[in-house]
Amino acid sequence: MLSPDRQPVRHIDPVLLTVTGLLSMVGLLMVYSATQRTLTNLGLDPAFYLKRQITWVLLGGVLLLLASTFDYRFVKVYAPIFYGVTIFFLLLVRTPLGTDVKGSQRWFEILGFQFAPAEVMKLALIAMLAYYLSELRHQELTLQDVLRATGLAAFPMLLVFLQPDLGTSMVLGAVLVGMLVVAGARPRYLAVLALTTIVLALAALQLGVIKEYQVKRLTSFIDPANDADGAGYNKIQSEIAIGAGGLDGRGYLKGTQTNLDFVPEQHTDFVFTVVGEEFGFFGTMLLLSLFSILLWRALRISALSKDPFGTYLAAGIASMFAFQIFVNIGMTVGIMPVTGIPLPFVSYGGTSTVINYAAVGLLLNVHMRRFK
Amino acid sequence: MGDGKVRSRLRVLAVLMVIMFSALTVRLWFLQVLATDFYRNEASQNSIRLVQEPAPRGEILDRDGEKVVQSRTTFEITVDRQKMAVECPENAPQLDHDPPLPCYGESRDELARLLGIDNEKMDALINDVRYYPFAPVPVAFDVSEDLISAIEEHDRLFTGVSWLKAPFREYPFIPAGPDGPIGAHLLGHIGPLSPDQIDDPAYENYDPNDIVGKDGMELVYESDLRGLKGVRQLRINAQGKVINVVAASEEPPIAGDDVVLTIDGAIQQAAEQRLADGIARVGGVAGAAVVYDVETGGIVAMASTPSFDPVIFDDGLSLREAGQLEQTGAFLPREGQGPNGTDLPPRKDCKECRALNRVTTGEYSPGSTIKPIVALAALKERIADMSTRIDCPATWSAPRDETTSFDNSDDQAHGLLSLSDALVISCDTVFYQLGYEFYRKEVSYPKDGGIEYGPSAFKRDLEDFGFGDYTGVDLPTGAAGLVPDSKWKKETWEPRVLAKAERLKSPAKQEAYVRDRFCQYEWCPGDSIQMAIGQKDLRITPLQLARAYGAIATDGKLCTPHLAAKIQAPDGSVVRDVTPECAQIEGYDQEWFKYVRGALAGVTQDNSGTADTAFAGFNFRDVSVIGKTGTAQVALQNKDNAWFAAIAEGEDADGKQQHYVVVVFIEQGGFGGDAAAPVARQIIEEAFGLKTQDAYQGEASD
Repeated sequence: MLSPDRQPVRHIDPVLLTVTGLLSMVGLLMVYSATQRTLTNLGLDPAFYLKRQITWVLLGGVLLLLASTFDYRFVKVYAPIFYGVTIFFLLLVRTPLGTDVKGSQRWFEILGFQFAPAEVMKLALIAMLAYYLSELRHQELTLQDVLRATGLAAFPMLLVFLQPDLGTSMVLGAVLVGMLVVAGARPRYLAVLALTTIVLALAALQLGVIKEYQVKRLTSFIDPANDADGAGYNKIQSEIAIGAGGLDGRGYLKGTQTNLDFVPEQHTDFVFTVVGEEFGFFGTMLLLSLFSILLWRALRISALSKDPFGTYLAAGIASMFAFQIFVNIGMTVGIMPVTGIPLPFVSYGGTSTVINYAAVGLLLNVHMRRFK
Repeated sequence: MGDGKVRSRLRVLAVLMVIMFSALTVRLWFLQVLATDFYRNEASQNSIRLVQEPAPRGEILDRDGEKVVQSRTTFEITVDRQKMAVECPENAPQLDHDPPLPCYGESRDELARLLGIDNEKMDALINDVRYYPFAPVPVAFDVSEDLISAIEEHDRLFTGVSWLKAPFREYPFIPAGPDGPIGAHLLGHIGPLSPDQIDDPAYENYDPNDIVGKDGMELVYESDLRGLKGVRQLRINAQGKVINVVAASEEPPIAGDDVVLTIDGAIQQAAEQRLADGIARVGGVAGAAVVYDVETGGIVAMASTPSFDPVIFDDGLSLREAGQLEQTGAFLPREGQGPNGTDLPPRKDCKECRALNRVTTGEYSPGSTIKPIVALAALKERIADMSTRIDCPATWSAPRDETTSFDNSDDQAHGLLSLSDALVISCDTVFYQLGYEFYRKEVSYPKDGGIEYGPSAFKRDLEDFGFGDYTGVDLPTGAAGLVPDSKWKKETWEPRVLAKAERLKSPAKQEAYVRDRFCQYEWCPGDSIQMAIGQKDLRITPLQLARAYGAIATDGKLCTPHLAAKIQAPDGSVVRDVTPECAQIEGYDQEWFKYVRGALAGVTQDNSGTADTAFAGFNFRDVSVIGKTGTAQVALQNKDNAWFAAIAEGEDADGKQQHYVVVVFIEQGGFGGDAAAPVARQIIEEAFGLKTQDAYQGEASD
């Protein structure tokens, strides 16, 4: 169905591609550092997680190629179907077909690899919102438009929240807000949206939909010592690891906190602590710079896009990355609550890694086909 | 939709992102540049954990160096809740708790299976609120080494399970007494700190889950027995796996010191056995026996029946249960249980409490056993001298008060008696007269009318022999007893009489009511008369009596009773001696003591003596035994309390010269000469290594 059109390849964004490659390299190094000691202690292959992550990156690379090859306007055509199918999978994962891990159902287990529809939902929602917003014909976004867009986001958010996966649910919300801003929603509409969210959250708390311990986990970042062995433990340990890194870090594979396993979930959500401890302030700044370039290119592509769909698509992806980066690093340094949001390209992870590469593929796609 | 507008909106997005990244940069600058020293320090502390190693608790030895309480290091299994916890399945009942309780998975199941208890009980143990959320929770005590190695070998199965060494008590003195190991009352037991103790400043150097002495020697000499915990610094990882020991900082534990008792294990065992048998023989309720060294105040044996078993901690888990029972008060008083498991109605004053040490905390009327001291007081106050002869009628009334008559217990007249004769046959009417003379000496009639009584020389004389005050024995509990006087009587009884009078309507009737009951709240002749034969309000403890008889035996040397002879280090070197504290009672001639001792010899040896039958055939050639019987009437009690106090001197089986007082008390035992004296005889025979007679079956009178 794709006609080989060699022209756009010449307009690929080399900066974005390079940054993505560098981030992937950082990710592989960090995942290895975070896991090799524990694996060695357990008598396992120290490169076990590294090898798996390489597999994911390669799979991501394939998806990146796929997502950039065909004209992104096909995405617009298939956006509603993509959105609908993903919602179907979100419902399906709640059935016994989904894998029950630690009391939450988030994955399908396929050939030993986990497939999480919530991660796919991030891209599906971006595509769906981009489709919906670009189809609007009037000059300015009405309240009705804002509400409809919110409705499109709210249903998958609810499903993901019930998994329970508060982090991904929040990412979907951030995508919605980012795209509404670019679509020109009036500030007061956004204010109403924010207010409604607060009221709903309070109602949920009151009705017991949100459990006390979830609130505790979200609020413990304000005073982690108050709950030092509970939700605050991760926070304290991760701050110690990052702070102990100092200006130039302890050197690769030499972080004591990393080696002694004090930071939990270190290869996934808390992978930034490895960067902080082993490469210090210089390392964390370098990583932040790479992320800045990534976001800059994404916003630039959004601006350069030849049509509104491309603009919204790129803006949604930029919002997704920005929110994840901020919340993830923010939680490791103690300024954001602990929610299970991975750091794009660096955290070990299956579906989320692959989705990140697909998102970059879409960005490249929009960039390549920016000329009318 | 113009391009410009989109660009400006994207700029809004870009600004938001710049703000976010700036926040992260500032925070990272703080953590990694400004505060890095702090966090580096935290990081090094992070991997170093202080591990306490319990000190072996000191042991308790009898005077011959035999172990009475032995310390053994045992293994204790602990659970780290955080590490054992798994994420709860949805709708788990634990989540409805506030705060939610953790759920435990396979590791808990494995541990429960290993310990042979069900999961529910396991959860209850792990979630014990007495332990801090992050502290390891002990779930099994005194487990076998096999269990520990089973956990070690399969440590993957037992996530969050670890073990430590803990001191444990054993009572190796075998065979044990009738209700358990011997000396339960004096040795005490150990257990976890109670909530009260945790708040007590005396225990500020303790950790909340420390095991401490709870009673008896274990409590009194806690600071000697305890020792000093060792501290080791371990480098560990987050799973708690030890990476290495920081050798430079290692402080090994220092073992606690041993307590050497004045108790003789064999005599203690004999006293407990003979007392229990003696109580059973006469159908008594409870009893006490004490063997007291008159020269030092050392207690050689101390028995209280019914007793209890301090080794209730034998299945490992029940140490904790005992602690809980103790908190609720259920452990100590086992109410409603008489000797041999007979059911008794529950009583609030805890007469049947097994944990009550009747030797030091039981307060009873001494009956006739007080008479030798009364005789000495009469000599001192010049009421009588050694040649005085006093009539012993069957019944006697105070002059000018013919309405109240006081009878001799045998309802017979014995003619004119010396003080000595009166002691031998225990003539009450002679002592009534002495009591009355005390009263006459101390009563005065002021010019403005009324009657004044006191200060009482009689009371002071009894107090000189240690009555009415704590003995100072090294036990955590004790009773002072009571030597009554006019002030005590008025304070105790006048409010009750007045309260009853107030129910009457007219003031005249009220006045008459109070006037008619004058002797219910004022000191009257009857009070002094009754006190002279050890009845009515006079209350003593068996140990007080032993101490006073010790003074009779030593011409007035009153010693502080004690159970510990010395504290010694584990290597046997003496840390400190418990020196005898004795004082001479002033105002008595040596002759008087000798005179009274002569009378007491008649009690056991003369045909007319009240304990003559009990000591028939006794080997008086090798061991001299003198003593006094007592039979105390108790209101609302169908049988009298039986007493016997003896002074025994001679060579024991090891050829050592010994000088003891032996006091035997049997609640509701009947006549002292019949119930208590035979028990005292058996204890004396065992203490001096004499051939023991079988239990005496005859009758005797007081």
